[in-house]
Amino acid sequence: MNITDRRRVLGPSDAQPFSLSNVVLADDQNMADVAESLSDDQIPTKIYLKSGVVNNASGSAYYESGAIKLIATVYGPRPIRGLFTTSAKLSVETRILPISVLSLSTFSNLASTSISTQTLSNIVASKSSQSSVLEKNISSFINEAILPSIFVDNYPKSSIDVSLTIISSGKNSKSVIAAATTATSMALVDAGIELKDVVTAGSVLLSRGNDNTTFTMDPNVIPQGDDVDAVIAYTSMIDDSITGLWVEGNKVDEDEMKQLMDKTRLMSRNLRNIVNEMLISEFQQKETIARNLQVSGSGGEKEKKNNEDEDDQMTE
Amino acid sequence: MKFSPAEISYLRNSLELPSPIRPDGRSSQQYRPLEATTDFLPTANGSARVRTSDGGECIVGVKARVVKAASESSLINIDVDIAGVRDDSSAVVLLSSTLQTAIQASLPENALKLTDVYSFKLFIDALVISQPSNPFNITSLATYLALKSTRLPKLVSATDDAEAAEIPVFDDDWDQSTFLGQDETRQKWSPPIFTVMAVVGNNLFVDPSVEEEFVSDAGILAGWSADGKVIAPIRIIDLGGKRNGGLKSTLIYKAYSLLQSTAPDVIEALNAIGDQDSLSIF
Repeated sequence: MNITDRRRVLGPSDAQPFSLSNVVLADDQNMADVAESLSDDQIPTKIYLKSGVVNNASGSAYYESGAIKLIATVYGPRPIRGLFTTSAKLSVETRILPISVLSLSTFSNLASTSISTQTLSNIVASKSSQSSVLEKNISSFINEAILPSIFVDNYPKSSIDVSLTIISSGKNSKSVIAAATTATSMALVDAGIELKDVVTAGSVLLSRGNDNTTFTMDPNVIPQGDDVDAVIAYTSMIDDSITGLWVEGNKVDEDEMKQLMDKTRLMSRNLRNIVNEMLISEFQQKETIARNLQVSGSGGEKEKKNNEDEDDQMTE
Repeated sequence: MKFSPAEISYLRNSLELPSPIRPDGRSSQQYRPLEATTDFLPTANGSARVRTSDGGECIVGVKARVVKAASESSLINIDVDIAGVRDDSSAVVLLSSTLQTAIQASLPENALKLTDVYSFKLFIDALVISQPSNPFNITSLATYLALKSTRLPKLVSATDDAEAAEIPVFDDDWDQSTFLGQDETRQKWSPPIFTVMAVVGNNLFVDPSVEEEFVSDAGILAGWSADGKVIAPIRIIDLGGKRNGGLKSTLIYKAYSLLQSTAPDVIEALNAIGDQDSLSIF
């Protein structure tokens, strides 16, 4: 047929219509290679990380841990129009899919007295088409936390655009933000953008009980009353310095701040170990693919496919 | 604003010194001089106008409306408008969400309650008319003054309307009105204030000017409650400077001690302004 349909954006030629019978439920067997770590003596959190999940982006990463599922995609560095700039501009856009907000809003009905205003305004705004306050705040946090890690001066008059999709989240917004920071940094690595260090973040909830404070890393616990909720991002490898900090709650004294920083630093270091292992294994795979391509010419194409299937592993 | 490489290097070097020198000769814990008026809008329950020496100007009006408490998600609504900045920009969202969270948390529980069904809802509208440097400081100070000057009319109808519905009726005499959050002992409530501190090297500066923001590594935003505690939201924010790396954790502690030394003085000065104005009116 010569006449092509130019009015509609058609899907790929080998697309299959979605039907529920096509859906394969994930069972624990598929997650066998998921690492169990980052426990810090409390909750063993399984983390699944994979980069290069979106083909038409410069770089991407998928992060899954418990209820948290998110994708970070990086487009760029690409040229910008208009004024000359000496360094790259980073812009982050966050979208929380309705399904994850739903879990927040149903919860707010149950605990309307103790829900934070942040969460509430998020729910209110999610009903409109505009991006919510929480989405904006996540975007600006990620922007502030990631920017110091990029060699922006190496990319004059260009922009690096990050698009973050939170597919599903727990009830605690800070743990989602910590995951998003890590995923964004992974996506930047995948895009081949020059970085000083990979930024990893930790989140912790400080609850003040009867004269003893407890720390929780559970992504499903939301702050109540006077609790303090924090997410802090670090460049763990080079100097352990803080690139992003967001503490929410009421009064936070210096000792509590110190404890918050200690806990999150430990978390981001642990997470960094996982990221390192993952980066090494991905590099090794890329090397093998490249070698096979050199050796067998066109035959390498098939090899690449096989490798990608095995790619889904995670290391401790 | 653009600066030449020579200017940048001069500013950066003088601010990085162990005993830093700020371009306008202030000490690191000193705010710029400001001029403020309170209660200047006759149609609002409370209002304030703050102008700084660099030409920044912010006006805040607080209006109260009687609402049914059950149908409102929040009894405080903050709307920030910065001239020349889009309403959905991250600066505006950060400003309004920070103030909203903090004011809501610090306001006494029953300060807005009228009856079992009805309650006041506060609409705080902040308009930043001009803002050469970061608008956070000036908006926070103006909001503080406006809330301090906010008065609510006295309720004369019954407070118990759980069984029989009753529409609230207020005293016509404005002299009978009470200040927002005022308790039985006529002790006034004080809202929190927020301070932006610019980080340059190992030094921190409150109320940074445009030049200081331009050469800063980052900004630290933190709140201060009237009873002398550092309050959240605490955040690292972008002040438009070059972000060359992360901040050392000692800087966060430094921010605590800097707030400790500067915030009580700022609150004292603001309260003096508020008292003066109410004296001149009555």
